[in-house]
Amino acid sequence: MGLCQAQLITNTLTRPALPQAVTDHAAAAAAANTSPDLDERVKEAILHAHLLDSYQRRLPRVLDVVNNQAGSSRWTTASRKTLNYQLLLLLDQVEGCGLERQLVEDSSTTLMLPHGNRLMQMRHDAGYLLSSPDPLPPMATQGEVLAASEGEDMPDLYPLSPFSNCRARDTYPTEECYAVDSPHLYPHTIFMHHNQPRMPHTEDVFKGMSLLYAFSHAAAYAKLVQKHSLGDLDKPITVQVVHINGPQYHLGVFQLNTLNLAPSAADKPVRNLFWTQEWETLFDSCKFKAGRGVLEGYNPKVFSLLRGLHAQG
Amino acid sequence: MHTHRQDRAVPLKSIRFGLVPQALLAPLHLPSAPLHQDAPQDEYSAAPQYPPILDTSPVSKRRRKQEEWHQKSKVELMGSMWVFLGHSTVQKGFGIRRGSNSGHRERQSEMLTTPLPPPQRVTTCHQTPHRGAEDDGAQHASLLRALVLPPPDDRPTLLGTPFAQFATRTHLQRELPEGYYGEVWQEAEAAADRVAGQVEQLISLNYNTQLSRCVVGGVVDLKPRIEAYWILGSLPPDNLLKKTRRGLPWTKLMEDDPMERPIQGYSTPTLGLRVCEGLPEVVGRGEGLAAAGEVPGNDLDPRSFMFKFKHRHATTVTGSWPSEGKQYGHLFLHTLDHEGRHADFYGSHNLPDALVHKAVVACFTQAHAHASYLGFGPVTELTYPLVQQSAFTDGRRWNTAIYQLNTCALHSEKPVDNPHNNILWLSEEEELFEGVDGDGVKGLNTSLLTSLLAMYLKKGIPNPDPTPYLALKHVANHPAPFEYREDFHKAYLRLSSNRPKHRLKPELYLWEKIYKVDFKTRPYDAPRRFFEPHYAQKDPGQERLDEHHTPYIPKSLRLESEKKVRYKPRINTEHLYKYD
Repeated sequence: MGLCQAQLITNTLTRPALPQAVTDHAAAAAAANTSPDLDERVKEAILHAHLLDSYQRRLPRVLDVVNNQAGSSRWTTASRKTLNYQLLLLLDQVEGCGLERQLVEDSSTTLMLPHGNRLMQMRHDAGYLLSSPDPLPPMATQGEVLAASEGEDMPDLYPLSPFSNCRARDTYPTEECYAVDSPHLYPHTIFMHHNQPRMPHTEDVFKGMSLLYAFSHAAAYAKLVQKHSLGDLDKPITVQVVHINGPQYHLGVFQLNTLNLAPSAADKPVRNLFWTQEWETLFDSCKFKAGRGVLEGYNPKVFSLLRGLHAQG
Repeated sequence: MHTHRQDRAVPLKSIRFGLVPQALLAPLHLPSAPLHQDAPQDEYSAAPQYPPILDTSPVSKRRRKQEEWHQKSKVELMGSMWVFLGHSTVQKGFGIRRGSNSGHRERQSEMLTTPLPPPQRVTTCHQTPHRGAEDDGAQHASLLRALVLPPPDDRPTLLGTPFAQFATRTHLQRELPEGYYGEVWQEAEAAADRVAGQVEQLISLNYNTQLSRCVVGGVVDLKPRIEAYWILGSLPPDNLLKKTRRGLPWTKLMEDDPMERPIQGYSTPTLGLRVCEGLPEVVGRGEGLAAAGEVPGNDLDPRSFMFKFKHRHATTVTGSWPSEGKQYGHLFLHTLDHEGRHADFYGSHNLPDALVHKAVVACFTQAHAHASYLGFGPVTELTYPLVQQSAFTDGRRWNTAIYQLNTCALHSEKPVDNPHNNILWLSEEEELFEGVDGDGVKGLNTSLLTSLLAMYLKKGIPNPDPTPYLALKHVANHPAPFEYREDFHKAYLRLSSNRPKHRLKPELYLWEKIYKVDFKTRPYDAPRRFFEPHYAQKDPGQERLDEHHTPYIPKSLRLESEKKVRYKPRINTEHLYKYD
């Protein structure tokens, strides 16, 4: 579902770029990064994850009439979470603030929230969930949030409802859980591995997914760990999200200000905020040529943005 | 006396009957020097040097042929371990017929023939298939197609541990070697103090411990795919082989001789750590435990230990394809997932033995796969030992192990008569912590934590010549044409994936066995099957992977100058610059 639809479901306003703190740190890191060694190590990690990993499996048959991706081999080394893991290791070494953070793999979060007169359930599995003993600082102050909530309008999908492609069920499990059940750890970054060999979605849908995942984890943490009631939050919860599909990286920062998802027009509505930017490509192609792995079009901006995200909190 | 008459022709008139002139008998042109030539002076020596006296018995002749192939497999001439791996594994198969590329055929535009490069001085790569001791019609004798698969290392079998040790020529020591971590112990203790708090947090959250985040300069593989194959000799012959030998006059006398079988091993670690330099040896390769360690013997067929025959390509993979860089396996973490199933089948009192079985198979496979990447392998013996560390854990209980690979060639009589043996040091089971409750972690075992950190921190030593038998380190450096390297690489990856084939294995149906083999009662059937003699008969087990039709080039995609070339020319795999 697209970004507008996700905004309406999660009562969120979007910003066209990442927060200043992240971009500043990324720019500083890129400028100060005089060691080509780091770029080489990132490239090595990419080559290893995409080409040299000897895991071979048959990919599922996907009929994509729109993009017409016929002809490519189904037996490939799909890049699993290996690249992300290598990059996380590198980030830890480079930034040095991550030694106290905990990493969970294949976490699962289930959450049920009312949206107006509907009850909605979200079940999201994150590839990696990075948790930190310190919470992320809010990227927008209370005043900014209120100003934005009053000043900006939510997108309008009329005559469609934001739940138009959601399935209503009469029987459903009612268990709710947040992936990391500890009062000492706050959510820091969520990594989603899309990893489909042929991406059937547009960029808008991609962004919408990132927003939904960020929201579900932040809201699950607020509701289940902090045991917050369904209303405005005193202290906003900030969560970062990195959504990856092969070489495409979509980064976002989400600030949860309220769990009231369908405020009526009479109340002063408080909205959640989502900073995001267009997706960035980490590299153009990574292929074998006559037995040697060749990486083309490496983009160092992505790693510096990841460093910017990693350094927060 | 013989005179030279070459310049004077004798007129026919002067020939009288019965008397043929000397000139007519002598050749017309005689050399002025004597007919024999002296050898060059440097070929003469004071004492006569006779060639070695060779044993001409069939067994010795076969042995010499094998040795010749083993020497060729040393890859000095083959150029790269890729080529070695490819040529040792791509010899046999059921062929890749045109159109059976799993439905994946590239357009020919990228693969049109280019003008041949000028012939360079190239080293030739022979593709002589390795013949086992029995290759005369035994149905599963096709070397690399019929592998004896052990159960995967996460399924140890009952009473299979001594055989696993025999098959890998491993001596088992029940504790870690003393003093191996001496130089990193203090560093490890300091690190243990620093991370103890985080480790406690980790444990209390029930995670897999993330100690790998401390190591700098290594590459971490998550669930690497590690496979290795080797050829195990000194096995007692099975009944089918004995029957075959009895039936042929030149093999009758060696009916009870030991046989050898290829074995494919697997290792399934959860985490693998690779670094640039290999670990130092624990004991010297020719001394002490490495030369005199006890290894159990074996009198039984591998099938007694739940080994199964399976037709598949032999693969050797170390978790990543060959590349420069960090290739030495440093540490492998395994889980104890096998315990549930093993306890259900065989009882929980057999679990310690199961761990040893798993450790032996997994450690040998890991080390052997890496040895193959370095140019050694099932027929090429190591020149220096390879050391790797492993740990088997379920989070709370830990068993650490160090494995030193001293010998990787175990064919012919080598499992029994070998100056070296491999050693596995396996520690006793220790607990990292006693339990977790509301207050936190109880009883963190800091000495175990220190020894685990020491395993991570142990440094490797540089090796000046790690690949003595590899001339070129990578197939991309080989002087063969680009097209050949590209095709070879793709073919190698395709074979390693062991994907299902389109064609079934040739099968002798029961009715054919009755009516065509045992009691030949179908004289009017043309003898065209693989077991019937005819002009195009080919033993399916001897079919080579380069015996296949090449793809068809449509007319629109042919080069202007080569409109008559209907099929893509096939590069001769022996002489890489010629086309068949």
